[in-house]
Amino acid sequence: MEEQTYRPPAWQTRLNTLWERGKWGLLALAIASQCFYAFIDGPAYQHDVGQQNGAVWNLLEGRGVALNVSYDANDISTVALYPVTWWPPMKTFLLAPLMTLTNNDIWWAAMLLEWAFLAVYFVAFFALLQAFSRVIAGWVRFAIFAVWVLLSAPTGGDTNMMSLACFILTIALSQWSLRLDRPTLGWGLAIGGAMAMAMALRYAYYPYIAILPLAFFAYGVLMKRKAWWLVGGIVAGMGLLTVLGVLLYNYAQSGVFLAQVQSET
Amino acid sequence: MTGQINWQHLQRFYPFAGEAIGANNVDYWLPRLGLPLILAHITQWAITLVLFAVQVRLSVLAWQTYRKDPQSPHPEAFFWGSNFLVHGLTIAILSYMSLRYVAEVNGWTQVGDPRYFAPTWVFTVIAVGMMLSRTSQAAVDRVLRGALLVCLVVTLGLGTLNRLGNWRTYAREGIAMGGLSKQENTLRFFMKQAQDEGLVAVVFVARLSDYPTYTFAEAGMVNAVAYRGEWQPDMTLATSKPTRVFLALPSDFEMNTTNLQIQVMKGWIAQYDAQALPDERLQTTVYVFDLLPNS
Repeated sequence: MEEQTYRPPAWQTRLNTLWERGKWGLLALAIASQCFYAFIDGPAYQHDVGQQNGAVWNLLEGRGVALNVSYDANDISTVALYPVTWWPPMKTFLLAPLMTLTNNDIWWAAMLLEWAFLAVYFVAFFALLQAFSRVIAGWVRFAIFAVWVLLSAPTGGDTNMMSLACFILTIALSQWSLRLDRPTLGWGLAIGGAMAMAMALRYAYYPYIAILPLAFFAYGVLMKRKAWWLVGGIVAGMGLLTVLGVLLYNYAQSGVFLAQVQSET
Repeated sequence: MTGQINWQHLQRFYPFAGEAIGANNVDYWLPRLGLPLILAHITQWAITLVLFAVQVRLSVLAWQTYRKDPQSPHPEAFFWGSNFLVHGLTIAILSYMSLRYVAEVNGWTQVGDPRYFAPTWVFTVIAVGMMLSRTSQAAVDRVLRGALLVCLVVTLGLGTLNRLGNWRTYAREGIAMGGLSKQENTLRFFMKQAQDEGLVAVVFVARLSDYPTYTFAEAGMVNAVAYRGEWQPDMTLATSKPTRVFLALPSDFEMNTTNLQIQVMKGWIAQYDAQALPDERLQTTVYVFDLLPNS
C-alpha cells in the first residue's frame, strides 16, 4: 500500500525519462569511454595475459599454444616449445584470427579482442539491468551507467574481464529466460554457451559450473516446473564438455612437450 | 601445498564486495589524504558489510514475495539463490586454497586477490540498484539506504578524484600510452629490432618479484625466447646462431649480493661489456649484448 501511494520526486521522473530516451546512447558511451581508457593503457600485459598473448605466434605456426624458451646455456639459440597450460587456451585461440585481420600486429589484435569483450561486458550488464526493470528504477539504471561513463566500471582487467563479461552474460540470459518464462532448449544453449566461454577463458570459473544448474534445479522445484531442469541440465552438460575439452587439449599439449624433451635428451 | 593450515593468511582477506562500487579507491586515497591506513581498511570493511546487509535484506524480501504467491514466476528468487551460491562457493574455495597453500614471496594469497571475487560483483551492483530503487519507508530499508548512500558518496567521490587526476595528467603531458604501448623504446621494440637484424633474441630474467612477468610478456609479444633453464654460479653462455642477449634485472640489482641469478648476470655484464637500454619505461633495468657462435 505504502509503495502504491509513493510519488517519486521530480528529478527522479526526469532521469527516468532520460534513461528511456537515451539508454542506447548511454550504453554506447560506456563502451566507448572504457575502450578509450583501454587504448591509453594498451592491451593488458600482466603475467597471465602476456603469456596467453605470446603463445599465439606458435599457434599460428601450427605448434599449439606454446611459448619459445631456451633451456640450454651451452646453446641459448636452441628454441624449445613451452606449452601454456596454466590457463585455458581460449584467449590465444580468439587472438589468432585477429592476428590475420591485423596483419600479425599483436598489439592491435590484443586491443581489438579487449574492446570486443568490453562491449560484451557492458551489453550484458545493460541486459541484466533491463531484465530487472520492474525492481530497478530507470533513474538508478541511468545513474549506474552515468557513473561508469564518467568514472569506471568494475571490470577487473585482462582475461579476467573477458571471463567476467561472459559470466555476466550468463546471469543476464538466465534472468531474461526467467522473466519471459521460457525454459527452452534455445535459452539453455545460449546460457550454457556463455558459461562455457567464461570457463574456457579462466580456470577460476570452473567451480561455478555447479551454481546455475543447481539454481535452475531449485527454481524448477519451487515453481513445480521440470522444464527448468532441462535448462539446468544443458548448462551443466556444456560446462562439463568445456572442462573436458580444455583438460584434454592441455593434456595433449603437455604430451607433445614431454615427447620433445625426451627426444632431446 | 603443505600439511599445515596457514590461518594467518586469512588476515589478508580482501573486503571484496566494496570493489563493485569502487571501494578500492579508499585504500589508495585515504593514506594520500593524510589519514591512517588502518582507517582505509576499516572503511573498506564497513562498506563491504553494508553491501552484505543490503543483499541479505533483499533476499529475505524476495523469499517473502515468493511465499505470498508461489504460483507466479519469481526471477528474483533465482537471482538471490544464485547469489548466495556464488558467494558461498567463492569464499569457501578461496579460503581453502589460502589455508592450504603457502603464500607467494610478496605475500600474495588467494583470499587477498580482488580478481578472484569478481563473479560476486555482478550481484552486488544489482543489489545496490534494487535497494536504491526501493520506496519502502520501513526503518530497516531507510537505514540501509542511508548507509548505502554514504558508502556511494565516499567511493564515487574518491573515484572522481582518480579520474580528475587522469585528466590533469593528460592535459599536462598529453595522452601518452602506457603498458605495452606502440611506442618505441619498449623492450619488445628492441627485441623486434634484433629479430629484424637476423638475430635470435633471448631474455634472461632475475625472478625476484612481480616485475619479471612483464619482461616475459614483452618477450612473448614478439615471439622472442625466454631462458628457463637451470642457473649455476659459474655458468657461461654459448650459441650456435648469432644472438642478442637481454638481461632483465631489478633497478636496485647492484645492491643485491645474495641472489644467484643477479650475481651471474652481473658477471656477464662485465664479461661482455653489456650496454644498458636507455629508457625507464622498460619497467626494469635491461642490459644487452650480442653473442656470436664460438665467441
